[in-house]
Amino acid sequence: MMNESHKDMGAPHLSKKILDLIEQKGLSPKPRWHFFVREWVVWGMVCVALLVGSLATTLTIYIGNASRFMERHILFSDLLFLFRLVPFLWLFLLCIAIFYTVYALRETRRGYRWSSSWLVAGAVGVSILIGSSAHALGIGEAIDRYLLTEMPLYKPLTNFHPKMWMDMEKGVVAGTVTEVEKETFMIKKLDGEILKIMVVSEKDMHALPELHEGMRVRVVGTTTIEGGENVFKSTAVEPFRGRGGSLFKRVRIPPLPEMKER
Amino acid sequence: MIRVSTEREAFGCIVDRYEEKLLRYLRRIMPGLGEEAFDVLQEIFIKAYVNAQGFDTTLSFSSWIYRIAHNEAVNWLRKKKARPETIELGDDDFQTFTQSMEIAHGTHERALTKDAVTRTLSHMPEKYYTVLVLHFLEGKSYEEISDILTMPSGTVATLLHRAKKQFSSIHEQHHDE
Repeated sequence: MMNESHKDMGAPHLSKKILDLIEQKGLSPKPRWHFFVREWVVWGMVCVALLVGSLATTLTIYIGNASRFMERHILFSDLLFLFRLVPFLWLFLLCIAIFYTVYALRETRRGYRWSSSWLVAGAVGVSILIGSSAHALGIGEAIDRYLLTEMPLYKPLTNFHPKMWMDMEKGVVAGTVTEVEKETFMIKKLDGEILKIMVVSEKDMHALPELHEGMRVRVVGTTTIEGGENVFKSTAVEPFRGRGGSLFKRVRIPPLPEMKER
Repeated sequence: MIRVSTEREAFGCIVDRYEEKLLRYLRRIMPGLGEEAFDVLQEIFIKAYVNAQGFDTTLSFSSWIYRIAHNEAVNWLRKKKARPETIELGDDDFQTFTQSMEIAHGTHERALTKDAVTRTLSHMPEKYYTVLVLHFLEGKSYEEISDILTMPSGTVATLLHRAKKQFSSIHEQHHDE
């Protein structure tokens, strides 16, 4: 231990002591590449976190979009149902990615100069920018489709329920168009049953000039019985793309018992 | 061999240049440290030597070595599970501090005595006390404090503002008692 009194008494300067200690312990400066590698590793972590955040954003936008039609037409009063449509898995992953991005940015050489709010805003902004571009390129849909077909655990995690489009009591039905007439068309529902759809609003027919056999649609309306058969009077018809839509052939949907009884 | 020797000589000059400054800083932020201050100081210079190649040239060297000193002080306090004891201000520090705080004798509502100032500072949270020391006693700018404490300049400004406010409030409180 050194002290001022030693120095006053002509003891060696601190610099001499330290240089002796350095020599004695054989210490040498860490090479420059050590610091470069560390910095690159941290930036690599930032990039990975941003990539995960962007993918989570893509999936959130995609799943949110896919559910929008239903929300718009029938579910304003059914908050619990709406709640089930929120892609919590991806939102949760997005939050984790943002947190991790901010943490990694803070670890960069000059990361401390930015306030947390700026770092969060930057991470969210980049995730949204890349995420929405990826969504426009259909990457979200491709990933979602892949996970739905290849990972059995994914479905329950993202509340994926194509069957929710088979709830005629709630006024929704989906299927593939088998026949088109002037004011009606027939669809083969997800459970394989054939249903006659009566177009109530002419607007829908105009909005769907492309309605043709083989087209996948989702329909909102009410069920009535006419001439002893079930007829679904539509108030809105929309091509069924995205989640559940183009997955008909890929995702096996077991028939619903209550649907069969009808 | 020659290069190593020159490097060490240069480093010796750095030690000579910063020894007093850093020792004074350590004593200010770790009052009651006593002789152990030299051990901490030694550790600071060894860390600076080992990490010399990692010095960010966009920073001032002073900020960089103060950062090492500050981190080492915090680590030392953590290791010893010690809290800074009662602050002892020298006459010069007292003058500098009160003048810098724009609360010099006579201009402040209540005259500041050295005892009152040290008592008030001793009651302040460490984060506030540290920015006050760096700004008013070490004469560091917001940017330099930002580089030393690795926090945004805006946060430094906020901390300083709150520290000044808290200083006045604690001082008033003690005076009323």
